Amino acid sequence: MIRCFHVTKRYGSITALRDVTFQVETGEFVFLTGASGAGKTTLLRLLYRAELPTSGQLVVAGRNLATMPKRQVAGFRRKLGLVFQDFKLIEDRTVADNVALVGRVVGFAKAESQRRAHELLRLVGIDGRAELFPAQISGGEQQRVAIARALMSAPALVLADEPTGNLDPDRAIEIMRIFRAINRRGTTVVVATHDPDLIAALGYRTMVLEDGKLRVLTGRGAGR
Amino acid sequence: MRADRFVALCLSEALRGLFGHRRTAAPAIAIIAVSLMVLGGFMLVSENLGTLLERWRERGHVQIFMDLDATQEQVDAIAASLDGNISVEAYTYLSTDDAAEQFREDFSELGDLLAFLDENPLPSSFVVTVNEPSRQERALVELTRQWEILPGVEDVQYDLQIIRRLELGVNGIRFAGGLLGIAVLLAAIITTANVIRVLVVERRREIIVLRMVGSTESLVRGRFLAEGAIQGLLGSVIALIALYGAYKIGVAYISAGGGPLLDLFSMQFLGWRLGMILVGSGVAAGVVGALMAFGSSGDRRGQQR
Repeated sequence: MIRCFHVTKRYGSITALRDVTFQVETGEFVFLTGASGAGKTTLLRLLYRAELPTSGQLVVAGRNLATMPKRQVAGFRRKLGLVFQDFKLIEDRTVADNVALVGRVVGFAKAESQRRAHELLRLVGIDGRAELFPAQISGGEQQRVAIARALMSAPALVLADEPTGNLDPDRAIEIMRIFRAINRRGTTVVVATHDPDLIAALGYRTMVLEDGKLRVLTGRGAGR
Repeated sequence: MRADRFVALCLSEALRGLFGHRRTAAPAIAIIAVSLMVLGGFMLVSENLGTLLERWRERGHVQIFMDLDATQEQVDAIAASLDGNISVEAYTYLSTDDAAEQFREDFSELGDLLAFLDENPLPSSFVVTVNEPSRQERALVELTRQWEILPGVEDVQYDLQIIRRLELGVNGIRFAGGLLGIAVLLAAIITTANVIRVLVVERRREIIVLRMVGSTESLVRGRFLAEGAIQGLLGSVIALIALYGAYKIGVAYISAGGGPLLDLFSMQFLGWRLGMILVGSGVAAGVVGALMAFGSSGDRRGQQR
C-alpha cells in the first residue's frame, strides 16, 4: 500500500525527514511514533500529498506521488481517509452533514450521502448525535465523527495524525478500538501517535522517527 | 462526479453559504441592486423616449402657420391646395381661438396668461398629416418649400426637425447612462469581489477540509462562483422590483401632468430583452467579482494542500 524509498524532506536549511525508507502492506495496521518535532506529521503530509519530498520516491495506493499531476490529487485523496488531532470538523454543519459532505464530494446524491453518513455514524456508535453540531458533543465524539467522515469514501488507506492527542485515556482506547475494527475489515491504517501506552496496548508494528530519521521498527510484523 | 450533481452541490453549498453569511453578503447584493437600478433607470428613460420619438416621427405632422393678418381667402386657398395634394392624408385647421384654447390646455399651470395680453399672439395654422411615403425628410423638405411660398403663410415646421434635436438628447442620455452604468457595475464587481474574498477567509477551514477529503478545485471554486452569481441574481431582482415601483410612480405623475404629447407617450416597462440584459449584467457582475476574488485572494497557494 505504501512504498517509501530514501525520502528526504527539507524546509530551507531544516531537514524534517532524512533518507526514510519503509513499506506498509495492504491491510496492515502501523503506528508511527516519535517525539514532537520528529517528523511524524511531515511524513503523513507527504503520504496524502500535501507536500512533495525533496528527494526520494513515494508510492501510495499504486500512485507515485512525486510525479502525480496536481489535477489528480483530489482523486487520489478520495482513496484516503484522513483523521486529525483537531478533528477538522465544520462547526456550522451538523454531525451528519459533516460526514455526508464527503459523500457529495465523492459524487453521491444528497439522499444517498445522508443514508451512508447515518450508517457510518452507527458504525462508530454516535448515530444518536447525528443532528447535533460539533460544539454540542464531546471531543471523543467529535473524533468518532471525523473517523466516520474518513470512511465515507470507503478508503483503501486511513491516515490518522495524533487522533487521540486531545482525548483522555479511556476515550483514546475507544478510538483505537474503532481503528482496529476498521483495519480488521481490510483497510490499511497508519496512526501517528506519541502515546506509548496506546502502542503497547495494541501491539502493532511501530515505526519510530527520531530527528527525521526512521530508527526502529518494533511490534508484530517488525522488519517487513 | 456527474455534471448535474456537481451543479446541484455548487448551488446548494452557495445558498447555504449565503444564508449562513448573509450579513457579509448583503452589501454586495445591495450595491449590485443600486448599480442595476441606475443602469436600468437609464434604460427605462431612453427606451421610452426612443419609443416616443419613433411614434412622433411616424405621426408625420407638418404645421403651416399663417400670418396674423392672413385673410380668409388666403386660408381657403391653402385648404383647397391641401385638398388637392396627394401627399396629404388629412389636415386640421386651428383658428387663432383654437390655438389659444390649445395653449390653455397645454399650459394650464400658467393660468390664463393670454387674458393679460392686448391681442392673441397665437397664429392660426393647419396641422397636416402627410401620407406614409412623404414622411421621409427629403419629401418633407420639398413640401415645406411648396407651402411656405403660398400667400398668407408665415412659417412651416415639420416634427422631424424637433425630433432630430430630441434624438441628440436621447442619444446623450443613452451614452451618459452607458458610461454611468459601466462605472457603477465596476463598483459592484469590486464590492462583490471583496465580499467573496471575506467569505473565502471566513470559510478557510471549510475549504481546507474540502480539499483534504478530495474535493476538486472546480468544486471549491464553483460554489463561490455560484455565490457570486446568486448575489448578482438577487441584486438584479431587487433592482427590477424597485425600478417597477419607480416606473409606476412615474406613469402616474406623467399622466396627472398632461401635456401635448401625452397621447403619444404610452410608457412601457423594460421588455423581456432589456430585463434579461439587466439580470444577466447582475449575474455577470457577481461571477466576475467571484473570479476576481479568487484571482487575488492568494487562496491558490494552498489549493492542493
